[in-house]
Amino acid sequence: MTQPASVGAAGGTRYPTVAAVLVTVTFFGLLVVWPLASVFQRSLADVGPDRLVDILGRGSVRKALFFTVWQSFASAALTLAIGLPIAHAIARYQFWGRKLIRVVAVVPFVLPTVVVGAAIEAAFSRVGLSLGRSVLAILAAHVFFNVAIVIRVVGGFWAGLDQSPVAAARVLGASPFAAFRWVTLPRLMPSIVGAGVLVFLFSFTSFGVILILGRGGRATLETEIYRNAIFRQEFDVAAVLALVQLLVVAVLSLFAARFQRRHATAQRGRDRRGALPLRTAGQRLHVFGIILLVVGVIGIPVLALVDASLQVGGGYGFGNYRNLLDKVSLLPVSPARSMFTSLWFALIAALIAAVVGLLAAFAVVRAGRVGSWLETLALIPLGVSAVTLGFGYLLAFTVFDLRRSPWLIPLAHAVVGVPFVLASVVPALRGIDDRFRQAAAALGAPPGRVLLLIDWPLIRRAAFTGAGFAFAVSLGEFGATTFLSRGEESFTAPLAIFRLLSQPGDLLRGQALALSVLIGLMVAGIAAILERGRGEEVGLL
Amino acid sequence: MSELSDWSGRLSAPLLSLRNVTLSYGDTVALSAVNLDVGAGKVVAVIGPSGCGKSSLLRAVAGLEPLTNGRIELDGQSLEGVATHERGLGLMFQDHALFPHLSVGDNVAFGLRMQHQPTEQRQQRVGELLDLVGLAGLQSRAVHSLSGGEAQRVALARALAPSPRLLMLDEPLGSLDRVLREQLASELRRLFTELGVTALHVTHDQAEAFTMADHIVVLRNGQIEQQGAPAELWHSPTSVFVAQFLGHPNIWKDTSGHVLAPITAVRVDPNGPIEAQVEQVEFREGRFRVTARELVVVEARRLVFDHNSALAVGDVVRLFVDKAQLAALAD
Repeated sequence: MTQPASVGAAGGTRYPTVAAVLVTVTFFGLLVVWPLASVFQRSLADVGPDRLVDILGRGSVRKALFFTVWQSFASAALTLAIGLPIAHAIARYQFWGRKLIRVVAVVPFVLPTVVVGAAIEAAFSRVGLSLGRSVLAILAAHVFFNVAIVIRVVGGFWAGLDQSPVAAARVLGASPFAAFRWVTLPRLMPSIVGAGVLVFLFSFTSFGVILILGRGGRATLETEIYRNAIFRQEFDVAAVLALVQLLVVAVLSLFAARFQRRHATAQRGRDRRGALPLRTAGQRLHVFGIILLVVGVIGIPVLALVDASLQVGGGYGFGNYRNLLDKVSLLPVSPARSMFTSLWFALIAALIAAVVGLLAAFAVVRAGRVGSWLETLALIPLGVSAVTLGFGYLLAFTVFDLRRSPWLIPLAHAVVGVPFVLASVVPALRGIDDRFRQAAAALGAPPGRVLLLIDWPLIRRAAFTGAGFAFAVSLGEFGATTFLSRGEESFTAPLAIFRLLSQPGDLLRGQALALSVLIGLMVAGIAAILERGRGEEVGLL
Repeated sequence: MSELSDWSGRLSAPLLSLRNVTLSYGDTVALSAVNLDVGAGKVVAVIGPSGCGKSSLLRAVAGLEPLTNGRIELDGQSLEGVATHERGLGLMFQDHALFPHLSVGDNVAFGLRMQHQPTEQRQQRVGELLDLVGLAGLQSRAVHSLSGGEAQRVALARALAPSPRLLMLDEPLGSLDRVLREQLASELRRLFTELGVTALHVTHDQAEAFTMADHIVVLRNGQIEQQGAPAELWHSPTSVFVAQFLGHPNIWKDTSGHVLAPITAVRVDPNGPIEAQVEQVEFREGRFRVTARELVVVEARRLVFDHNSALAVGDVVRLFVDKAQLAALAD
């Protein structure tokens, strides 16, 4: 393998890069590839083609598959319909609260799925609609959860779009609409398709939301995998369903990547004035409508959740919060204790994710072609559903009885967290002008010092951002944890919320809501801190 | 300066006329009471340092920025309330602003498509224009594969394709290197004359303006400082600002104010009254440009002149200044 010339100045010897590659490969090999390979083996080799066809032909499977696909389509379409006008407004207009929208929108995205479910249910019952457990509620939850993707991915891209071609088109005789249709939209398309596919995939692999809001009998691939693996011990059926899901995720991801590659356009214009001040009454009215939309989509569910958590026997109070300290017979531990377990796991998971993520980022950036393979490898956990991953652990880790290890849950959480660290650190690392390193080396800094004095200060912020997201994701992780949790030592808060919500009774519901608010507050707080003082960036993180 | 200069031909009304045009963004005033005429078939260059309001002027004419005050007329008709796309203009940007998702041919055809011209006619016109700018046969090329000069030619073809009434050029050659810039500037000049194009050309490069324009307008802080034919402007700048901006090196402070000495007014003369020491010598297009500092006097002037043979730094020379060529400048 030939090394580019700049690597000498940038990375010193190759051994650190090789070590980073090895750590990355081992981590993901053990915790992603092996479990997924077990799913493949179980579904393809062990089950056999005849049984596979038989399983796929079952009514319940076909029904779940059909519902999964159409609700994902509907969720993606609805999220785009609501998110695009918001993205447009924050990309093109300057107004009070514009930055706040970007921060507020990211909160639902990091909220635990069970909390999202609880919030939507609370919102629907607050307005007196008995639709709390309908398809509509599921779609609303998915919009609430994913609208941040559209706002941030498309909005960020839109804000950075060179405006001079639009002016050129207008001068050439294009009306404002024609200029949008022929010049702006085609250039936005890659980001719209990217965001749409992401929303589709997140809705496709949605689990906690469906379990809570779909109890009227709505089943998706995810819930069917869970039901077959945990309650019915039908590992074959679960494996086949997981296979179908993996295929859909893989095909769609490839499609999105290809589309974006093919339609990405280089920008070399300099007219990036971005957002403009509001000038006409019409524009002010427009922006006001957008703010109302944001409040409606994001604010109402959050407020309804907080409101419901404070209701005790007809009045308001903190009773539900005090009750968190009491042990309930339904749970192995008190809700308060489950919260501390979650915090502890999240801390460990964030640490692991930060260390592995940083090493992986260096490997991705420094190791040439191997690096780009590693990037794909490390991003798999973002696309694969947590349920499939958890199920894979169940199948794979029978060997040394790893399933009983108390470390497995934080490790699994770290696996889901590493892509966030990577997504944050890799662009920062790539953004460092190699001449800084060359200058430092020329001034006498050995490679280690260059790393410490040039690279680290420039990626520190990105590393903390990534680790913070990993922490938040771990705090709310539900899908994989349901497969791996055993007993009181590993009973996390999202599990507690789900179990409390799954039984009737105001006391239990009150506890679940209070716990949701506390977890939600922590996650939102972290997201807000990470967002503070950041500029406008393209992309989710 | 007078609102109507003789160059624009009183025989026919100007094609474009700006009257008292004022443009402000919030508290900043980009253009203040600008009066300007562009006669049919003429090329008018607007020059000035960055931030003087040149680009705002173009954006105002294009209708991309609403006027705060004043009026703009094209062909004798007010442009107020006429949207950008209905003005029938051509605009060429410094960064080309080619549509990155369209091919070269589709870029050039864009304006024709907006006019709903049939495909066949469009293709023919695109072919003609690419021919005209020296890029025949490049219809299907992707725009990102073009060199800077090629991209600029495509941008020109695109702007000219719909036969605009007025072509506007915003630093059209700013992103090119010097040799290419000079070559394209004279090429544009020839093309505009041939086709009878009326153009409003904005640039910070006075050399480019002198090459291309029939009439030059110097803009400063959103106001017109001076305008006139290139030779007139060069020979009689009225203010220090204009003289400096055009590149006159000998601007001296006098008891009565500032004085401009054209470079031809200073020469070496053994009997000259001024004694000066050479500070700097640059070789320029076959001659030597010499900067010398006056000796003996208290407030020493720097004198710049062209000389046929090399002088050494430190040499002491005697200089003669032709008083007849001196002109007073406003501060």
